[in-house]
Amino acid sequence: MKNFLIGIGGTGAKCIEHLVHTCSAGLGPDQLWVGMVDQDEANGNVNKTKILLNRYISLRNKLREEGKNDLSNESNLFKTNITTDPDAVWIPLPGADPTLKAVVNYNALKDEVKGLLNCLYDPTEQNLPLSEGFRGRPNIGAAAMLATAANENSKFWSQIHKAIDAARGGEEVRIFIIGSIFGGTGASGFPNIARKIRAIQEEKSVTSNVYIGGALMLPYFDYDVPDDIDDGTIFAKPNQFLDQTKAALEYYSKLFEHNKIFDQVYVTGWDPLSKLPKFEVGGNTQFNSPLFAETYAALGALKFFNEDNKIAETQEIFHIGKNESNDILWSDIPNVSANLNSKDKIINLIRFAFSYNWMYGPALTGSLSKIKKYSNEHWFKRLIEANTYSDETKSSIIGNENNQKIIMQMREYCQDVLTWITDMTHSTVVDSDQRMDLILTDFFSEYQPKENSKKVKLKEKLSSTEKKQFKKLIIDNDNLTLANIMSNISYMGTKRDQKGLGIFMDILFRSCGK
Amino acid sequence: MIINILKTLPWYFVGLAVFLVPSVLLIASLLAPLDVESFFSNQFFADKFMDLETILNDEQDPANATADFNLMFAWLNIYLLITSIAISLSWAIGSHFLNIDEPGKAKFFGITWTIISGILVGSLLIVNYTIFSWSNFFMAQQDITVRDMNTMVLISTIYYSLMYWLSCILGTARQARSAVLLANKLPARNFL
Repeated sequence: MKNFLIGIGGTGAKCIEHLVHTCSAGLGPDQLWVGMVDQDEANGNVNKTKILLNRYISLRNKLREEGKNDLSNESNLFKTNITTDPDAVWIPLPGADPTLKAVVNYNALKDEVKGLLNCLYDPTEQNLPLSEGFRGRPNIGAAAMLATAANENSKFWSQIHKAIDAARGGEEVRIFIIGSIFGGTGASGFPNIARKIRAIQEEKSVTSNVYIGGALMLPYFDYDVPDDIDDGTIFAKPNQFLDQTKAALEYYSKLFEHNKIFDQVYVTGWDPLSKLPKFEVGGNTQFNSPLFAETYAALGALKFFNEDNKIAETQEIFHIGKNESNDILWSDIPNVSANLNSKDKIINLIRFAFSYNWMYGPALTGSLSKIKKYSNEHWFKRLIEANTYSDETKSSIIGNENNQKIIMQMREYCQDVLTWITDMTHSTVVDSDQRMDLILTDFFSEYQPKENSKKVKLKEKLSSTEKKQFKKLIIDNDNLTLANIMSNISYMGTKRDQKGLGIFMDILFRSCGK
Repeated sequence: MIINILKTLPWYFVGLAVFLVPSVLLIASLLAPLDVESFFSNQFFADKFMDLETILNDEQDPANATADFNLMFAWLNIYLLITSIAISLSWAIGSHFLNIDEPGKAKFFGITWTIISGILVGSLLIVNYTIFSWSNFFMAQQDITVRDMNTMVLISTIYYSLMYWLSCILGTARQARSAVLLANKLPARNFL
């Protein structure tokens, strides 16, 4: 089975962030290609996701190197083989500051067509520079997307073409699209990209094996627009979200009634809306915090890709949401399948990130002479020294450049995980009556809502009192301590085919589980 | 945790058995009647440590005196054995509950182990001298010179300390091995 995920707009990119972390926890499929669509090429959220994807892919490749540093196929850590391409962000209208007028070649149009265009788009919209996205105007985005050909020369579309070719060969292909209903790029891209895929499928005469799923994000956040913003500036206005959503839902209702574009649609939102502390029109300064509703979209995608998910003949629409109270609990996280408990896996990842970032990562960082002070300890001898021993140097090569790179990259990734969960815990409920009872974050991090790109500051080092609080890290769970983890890594058995640093990483990961 | 303890306990018993088996055989032979053939000569320790001259001067029957001595020596070993097993087993199980929560921390529990080892040695000495002071229960105490008594105390203390140490080496929680003298020299394997 081949799986493809397309994140549209800023929301799509943010949902991919959640998806990457859930995949590293072992909730994802074996293989997944990820692409993004955003007119706002320099968007901070898209760039952040790109960096995260590259980090995941690079680290996974290093830790799945057969015979060298191998976690083994049985390991759930970085289970999903995510692939992407540096050019996998499809920009519907490339170039410097394209406008709708330029795209449709307005000046060359006949007068009656010009008139029609003038009826549909006012002059401001026609001349709006689109390099920072469609600014909450799906009517512009839809025109732009439909005006652009989905040809095989584009890195993004070539993957879709390949997928449909694979489906013709008998392989099952699942494509999942994530977008918001209330923005610009997402709202315009969600139905139109699915339509384009179906059109390619029709063009290639592929009648089966291609399944399209989607996560449609209803309004789940808003923000205060600064008073000093120019009245003429076009941007996504929060006070229009509900009206836009209502109109869009009516449109989807008719679309789904007459046309089966999607096989499964997952609909989610958040009430009351999470408040974004800082407003940015777009561009590289737009760094919106991860929000809990996006986890629903990511888990919807993983459910769609799961092999236990049998896709029905009829179109299915699923609604995902939290419990009715103001408390957000672990029980609000749905499972990916009957065999994949999302809560357990995410908790496992958080504990792994914590213990690696503050305990084991620092211990393994540096030259061999520095690391050697642990050489008398059982975990080090069994998991590190024995598996990084070089016959040439007659000693462990844990201190060499390649191994140190892996250790550093894992630490960076763990910091991403901790930052992600901390930011989500605070940002989802900031300035509201809601409470997020998932993890305790105060003892290892500082949350600064007014900051733009770095709202979460992780502590460099933890005191012994802070380390003791690890057992309270996860709310509503058994009290695993750091001492339990040390005990587990000393006893947990290795798996066949595991090699090098892969052994230690997998054992530490499993040691942080139930 | 329980599983980890169960994984280590067999190794604890291997270490213990090295000294436990000879000790149990000795106790059995000491408690056996004098005319029964046993693994150890049940006359050996009596001949070695009893003051035969005093026994004869006191007009005691040497056979009865030997039987008294064997009884005392058997109970001495039983108490020493119980003490060693109790303390070493407590350490073997307790070491799994030590707060070793990060790399490099195990060695600091070397102090704890040293204190427990000191308690063991102290307990062995107390048991020894208590038994030797129970003249009401063990008549043979009168037939041993102070020098021989001290020799017996020394030998038994060394023997049961070695039993404790070897069982600790093999039976300590893997993550706590740096706390036990020379335990970290053991090879680190999946099964050990």
